[in-house]
Amino acid sequence: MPDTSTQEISEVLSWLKSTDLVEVSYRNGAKGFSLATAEPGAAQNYPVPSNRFTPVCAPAVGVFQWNEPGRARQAEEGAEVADGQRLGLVETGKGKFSEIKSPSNGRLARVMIDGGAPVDFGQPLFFVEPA
Amino acid sequence: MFKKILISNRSEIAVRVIRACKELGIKSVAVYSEADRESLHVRLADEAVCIGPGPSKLSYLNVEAILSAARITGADAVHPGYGFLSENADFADAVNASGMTFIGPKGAAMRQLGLKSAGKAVARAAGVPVVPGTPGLVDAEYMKDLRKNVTEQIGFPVMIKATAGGGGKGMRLVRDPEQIEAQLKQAQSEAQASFNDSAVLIEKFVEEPRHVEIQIACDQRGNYVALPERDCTVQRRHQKLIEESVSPAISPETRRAMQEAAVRLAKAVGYTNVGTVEFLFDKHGKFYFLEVNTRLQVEHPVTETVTGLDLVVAMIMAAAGEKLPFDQARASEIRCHAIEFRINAEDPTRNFAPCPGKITSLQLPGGAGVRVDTHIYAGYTVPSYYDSLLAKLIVSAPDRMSAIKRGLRALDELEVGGIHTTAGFHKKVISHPDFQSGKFDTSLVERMQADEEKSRAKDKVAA
Repeated sequence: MPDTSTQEISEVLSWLKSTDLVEVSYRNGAKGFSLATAEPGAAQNYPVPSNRFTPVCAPAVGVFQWNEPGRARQAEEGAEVADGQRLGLVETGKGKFSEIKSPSNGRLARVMIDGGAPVDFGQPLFFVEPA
Repeated sequence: MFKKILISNRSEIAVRVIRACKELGIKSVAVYSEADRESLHVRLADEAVCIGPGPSKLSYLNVEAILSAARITGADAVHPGYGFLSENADFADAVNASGMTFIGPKGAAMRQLGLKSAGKAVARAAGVPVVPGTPGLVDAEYMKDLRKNVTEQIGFPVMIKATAGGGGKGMRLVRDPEQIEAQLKQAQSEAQASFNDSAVLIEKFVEEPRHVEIQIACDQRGNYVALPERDCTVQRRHQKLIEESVSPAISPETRRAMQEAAVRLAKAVGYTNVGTVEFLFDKHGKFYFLEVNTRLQVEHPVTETVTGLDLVVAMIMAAAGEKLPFDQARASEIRCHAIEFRINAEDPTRNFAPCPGKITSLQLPGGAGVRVDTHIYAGYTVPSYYDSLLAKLIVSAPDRMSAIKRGLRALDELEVGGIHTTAGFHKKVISHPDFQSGKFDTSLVERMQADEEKSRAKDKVAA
């Protein structure tokens, strides 16, 4: 784009903002440009408490379980948790589990789920308050 | 009958199936990706489950997530819509194996007919005409009497095709028998140079082809029904743009012959549920089997409109083991002429580039003989992850010319603010004298675009 003006760039940018794309780039020979929206991806519709809590969301659709059958629950509301500690599992099929881990050291501030409950992909299950 | 159906799809087809469920008194479950939270199918269904992030591979193509969603919602059947997993035989088997019912054909029938080469073999065995060609690759034995073999077994004109081909490389149209040896050698060396594989086959060149397809519906009680044809000749790069029923080129005798051929094919594999047998129809009035789509088609409303029947209801009933809600005599009733326009989020002035974005305002057409199947609304953002189909506009009238006029009127009424659509392009096509006369083939859109290009160049010179 040899005669790219600020106005043209701003037109592209306003188009970009009207889509769900986060980045666009254009090249013509040695010339070109790249634009990215500053906004993060689409916000989740779930209520999120103040930002010192980190939401831990379901990694898959399925049934939430505290642990594999016959094994003890690893996490209690209010308890200290370690980075990478198992918080629970999502059962996605017979004998197939997807593990949910604590994202940091801290306190398991809030438990939003009961064992045996169905969960959607991306549904917040816990809030961890980082240490 | 089923109590709860999960629809493993999105967009207008998910909405279409949810509507059928409501009318049958069956609960519906929508599944959606994070990019489709605001989609209409999520709002209309009785329940909705988020199955994954935006990319299809992680959501609408994620078999485990879909089966898991069906399990937690207690669905007893899965409707796949079209695209995504609808023609995946393993998915059909997995649904059935997990104690639910896949609303579509059995996995085995999908495997027998779904793949082009397999389908062709079944067609040949069932006495359905296929495009004549060499039995396999052209080998030394065949080359010995090349001209005689081609003349007697295929008939000129023929097309030489590189098996590893693509993009027209290694393809040669031969009309003159004298030229066959020279052209074959050239095609082979071109194929060798382009694909490092000189293998070629020879097929009859279908002249001025139309794309005509027969909808079939079959239950599990041995009833096989063929519906009137759909003509999908208006295409761009093999993408259908406009479909109509009945075809302006098909006589009642040809219709019957195509329907009988389609039913023979269905019976040969014990097909159940709905499907579509696609044919090429040439300028000499001959038809050739192309492939079978073992699912509901995008353009099924054209057939529903012409016959006054509901194909999604028929699918659900057939899958539940009930009798088809219509017989051959009823399915043969042609009650009007119908035309469908695919309204895509694409910019025809920029070579049909996809045009996702926010729909700022929306005015849908209405009135007599107008049906709109869509998932969009004012304020909806078209995600960039999926195909660009926004809506299907189906118009009907007692005869073809009235349907064309109604189409122009309805396309005029349609206003989609904020993004480009193909609506204006459709108006150009159906205003074209060739479309109106009904005498055109699959090259119509390309010819129109070339003409436009030419007149634009002329204007430039004049200016």
